[in-house]
Amino acid sequence: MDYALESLIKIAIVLGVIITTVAYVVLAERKVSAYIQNRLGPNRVGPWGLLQPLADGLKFILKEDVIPNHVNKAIYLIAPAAILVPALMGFAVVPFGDTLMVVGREVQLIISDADIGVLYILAVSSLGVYGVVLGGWASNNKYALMGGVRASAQMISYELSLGLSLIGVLMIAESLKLSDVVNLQATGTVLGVLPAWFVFNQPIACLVFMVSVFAETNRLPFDLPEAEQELVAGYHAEYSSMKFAMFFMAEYAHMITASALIATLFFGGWHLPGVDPTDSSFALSVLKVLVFAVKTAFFLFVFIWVRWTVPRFRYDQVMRLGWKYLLPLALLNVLLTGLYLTLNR
Amino acid sequence: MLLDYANVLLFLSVGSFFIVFNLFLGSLFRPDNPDPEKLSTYECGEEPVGGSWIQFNIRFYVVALDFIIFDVEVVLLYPWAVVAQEFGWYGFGVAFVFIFILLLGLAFAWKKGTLEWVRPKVDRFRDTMTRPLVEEAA
Amino acid sequence: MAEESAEAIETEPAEEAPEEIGDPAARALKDRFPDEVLEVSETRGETTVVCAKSRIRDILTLLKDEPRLSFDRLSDVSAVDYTSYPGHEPDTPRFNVVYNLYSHPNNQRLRLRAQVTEDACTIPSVTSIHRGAEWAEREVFDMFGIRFDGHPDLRRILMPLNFEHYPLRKDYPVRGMGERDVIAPEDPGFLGNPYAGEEEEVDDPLGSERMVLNLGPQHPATHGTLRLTLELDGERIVRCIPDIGYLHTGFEKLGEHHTYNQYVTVTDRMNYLSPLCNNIAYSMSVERLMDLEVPERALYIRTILWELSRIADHMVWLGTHALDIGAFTVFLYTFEQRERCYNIFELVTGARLTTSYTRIGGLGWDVPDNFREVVLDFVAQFPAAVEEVERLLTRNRIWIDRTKDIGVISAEDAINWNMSGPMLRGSGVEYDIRKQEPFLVYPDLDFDVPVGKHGDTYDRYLVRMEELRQSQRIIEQALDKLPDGPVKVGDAKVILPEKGEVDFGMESLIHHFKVLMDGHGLTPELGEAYVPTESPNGELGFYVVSDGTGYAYRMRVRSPSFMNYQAYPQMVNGHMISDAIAVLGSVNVIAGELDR
Repeated sequence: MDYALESLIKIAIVLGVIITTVAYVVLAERKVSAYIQNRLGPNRVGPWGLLQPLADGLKFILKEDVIPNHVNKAIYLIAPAAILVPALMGFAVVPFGDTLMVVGREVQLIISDADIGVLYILAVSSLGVYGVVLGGWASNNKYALMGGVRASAQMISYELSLGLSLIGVLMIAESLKLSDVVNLQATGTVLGVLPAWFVFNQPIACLVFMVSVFAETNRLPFDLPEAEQELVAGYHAEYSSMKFAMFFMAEYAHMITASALIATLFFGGWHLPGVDPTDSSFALSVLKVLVFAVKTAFFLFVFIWVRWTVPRFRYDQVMRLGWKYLLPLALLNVLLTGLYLTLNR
Repeated sequence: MLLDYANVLLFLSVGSFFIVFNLFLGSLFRPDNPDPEKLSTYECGEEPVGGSWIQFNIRFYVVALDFIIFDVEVVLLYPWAVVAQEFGWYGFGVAFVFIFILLLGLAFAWKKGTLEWVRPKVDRFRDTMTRPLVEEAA
Repeated sequence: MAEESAEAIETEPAEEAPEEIGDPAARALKDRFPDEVLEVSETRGETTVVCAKSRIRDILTLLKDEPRLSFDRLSDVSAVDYTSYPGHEPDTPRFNVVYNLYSHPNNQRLRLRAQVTEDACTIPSVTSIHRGAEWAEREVFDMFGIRFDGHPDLRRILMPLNFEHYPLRKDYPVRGMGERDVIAPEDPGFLGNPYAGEEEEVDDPLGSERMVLNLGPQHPATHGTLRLTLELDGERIVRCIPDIGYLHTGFEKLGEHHTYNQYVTVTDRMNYLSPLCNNIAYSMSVERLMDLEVPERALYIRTILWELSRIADHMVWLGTHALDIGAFTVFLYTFEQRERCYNIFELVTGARLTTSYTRIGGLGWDVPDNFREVVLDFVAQFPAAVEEVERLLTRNRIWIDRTKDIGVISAEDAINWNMSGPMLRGSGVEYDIRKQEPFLVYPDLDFDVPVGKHGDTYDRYLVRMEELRQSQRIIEQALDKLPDGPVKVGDAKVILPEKGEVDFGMESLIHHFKVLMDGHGLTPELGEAYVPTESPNGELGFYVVSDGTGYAYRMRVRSPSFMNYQAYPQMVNGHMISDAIAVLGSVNVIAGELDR
């Protein structure tokens, strides 16, 4: 019973934090892009526009929900949920801290330390494509359809390099558990000076993973499925009100999960060099959560930064990059890692 | 162990509840004044010509086929990856052959052009006039 | 040839021209087509040949193919309805179709006027000789009802397809004939399904069902209201049909119903990115018609403003072009620069967009005292801004991949399609009206004309970027040389006197009264004039026909967007949707100028 209660509390907190973060990442995106572009960004609602997300949320709730005549209604209604749920679900296996002593209990800061965490993430994240494809198809709109088709082809193509890039990491970690992957990174060093983060001993995997994650989240330069100047809004062209908000939230939730994963898999998760990973005093545990949050925030910033800097790929270029560069590169990485590990056995 | 998945299920239910609740909340407040213009398809303000539920270019499906083949094989690599260090040279050899076959498959798809997108023909400027020019009549 | 026009013979076959014909082209035409060439006139440096319509194709072929002449570009096709022109007899042909030719090798212009009667309201199309005549001929058909035999696609272009009248005919009133009340509700719009029964060979064995997609008029990448109907095979464009006219405002008709100075305000609205260029180009045509010598200070100020407009225009182009390819941030950087330009325009003219700064014979008023400092401030910070955008784009791998070899048009085709400005130069044709047919004070200024090599989107981008730097050079030089003096001609019959003088001086009051009174002030003699100018998008010119009153008899606007845009389908066929957007950005279509 206690266990269930503990889980429920953790889930409520994590969900609450993600939803709030989504709202504030949107604000951050607007603010950061504004500063990149020599302007101020939202600054009317609350100090520095801090209440803007609240106003946005209220507006989404109060907007009329137009369901066009010609859509396939059942699928049209399912699609927004089908994209938002997987985007949130990915977070279930991400360790956002080590352990924390709360009222005498040692609480593991992870919702589900599933022993196939990595596979789980791949599975859940690839579910996201269903929402996009269904939404695009059910809208019965040509722009939406093209957005959906683009999204599906793009997401499945990068799914491959995403999966393959992780194999190198797993070969070293010898576990599919994300908590094991982090613990491994918290011990030892690379070349004697650098922390044992996988970015240092699996650099190719890290590169492939980051590029693939950009493509999976449909962020610029891979935002073809919703490319405004080409497809107007792509797969969510016919959605309005709360349903549109769900597509919108899903994109940002996806980004947060992706950033958390980059931090967890390649940048040591909650590990901060110089801090004893085994010490689980309350202060240190909180610090670890903060370290994780800062790392995630940094990659969120990278997402935003890239979006407001580079132009967009064309469709065939996206496919070429995925199939002809990233995929062979990831395969090569697996072979190299295997060779290295076998030689040093 | 199973409890871990119970947590996932719990997470799923709470997440779904959140979504349904939001939609419900909106339906209490939002206006509902549909009219024919609002409910029509968006196509830049023009009447759409033809439907959008058409047989789409097959290349997209070829990509999907490629994906399925590779994805199944990638999944097979996972169990090996976890125990790769224990298996030693024998395991590596097997994996190498496996990955080599994967690479062959990729090379085959590459060669066949299923990874290519149609590029315009070189002399497209001349052979794709909007309409053929009518020759001078006497 | 069968309808070897009786009317051509009826009109006095030009009595053996006693004076020598100076223009070699006109002379050659007279030699080769003695029966068809009816009249040759050379006024104000412009040669006009009036001819019969029957062998117009032979005439244009000769002009194009004869190496000595090689009039390889048909810059414009328009028409004039002479019904109420002074001296027009009921039995002389009602219409003249006007061809404006330019020879790149010889740097020469020639105007041909072919006579068309109302009864046999047809003329052979010249699209087989000059592809670029396609849209211009459609427009003449749309506006005057003159049919072009052998035109590949003779449909209305600006007016709705079910429109019944020909608006630029003299018997069509400027207020319309009440069709606005009738047409609106059941306008069939474009073509319905323009593809019924037409199938095209596809070279793609995996091709499949086609999708017809409307891109525009309400689309984020069209920047204005224009429409493309794309026929798609997956992502690939199989066919593209542009549909224009959404912003058709009847500027040419308005020109016949505004006095010469009033019309300046209309020109503002034509190209809303560089209104000053339109003001100035228009004024120059009328000034040539009236043989006015504009004071040098006015010319220098015009030049400075012209180049500032080019910068403002190119800034919008650059921003939106980059935006279309996904580089959002560039857009705001360039718009900041454009705002700075607009601040200068506001300082000088009092308005940011509707500048209306020129008057026939000069400028409305002199620039303010701090003009020099303000402009110098602008040019001082400008290179850094261009540099910043260059750092974001020029060597950006994605940008290069998206623009290289996209929308290629060869030099030969670009000329044949009547392109001008950066479009033409991107294809490697070194033709800049500022150099070849100088106007304003460009001969006194030192600048380079950038030219591309491949005619693709990337080269057009590079050309325009370099033009920005050259504009800055021009502005700096012109500021240094800016002389003192008046900014209007001294002719009291043309220019309104100062307000202060009107209040206290009898003579000024009379002049003021006369200038404004119908038929007394600004009244050019009978005649026609066309001054080509190098606007930011290409050749901009106003072909003004005067009937001696205070209103233009015919006002034809040769707008660069209209001509540049017509080759668009050929540039994007076979490309992908994303490329269509990239090419659209590089053509820089300005809807106001496109539809007029």
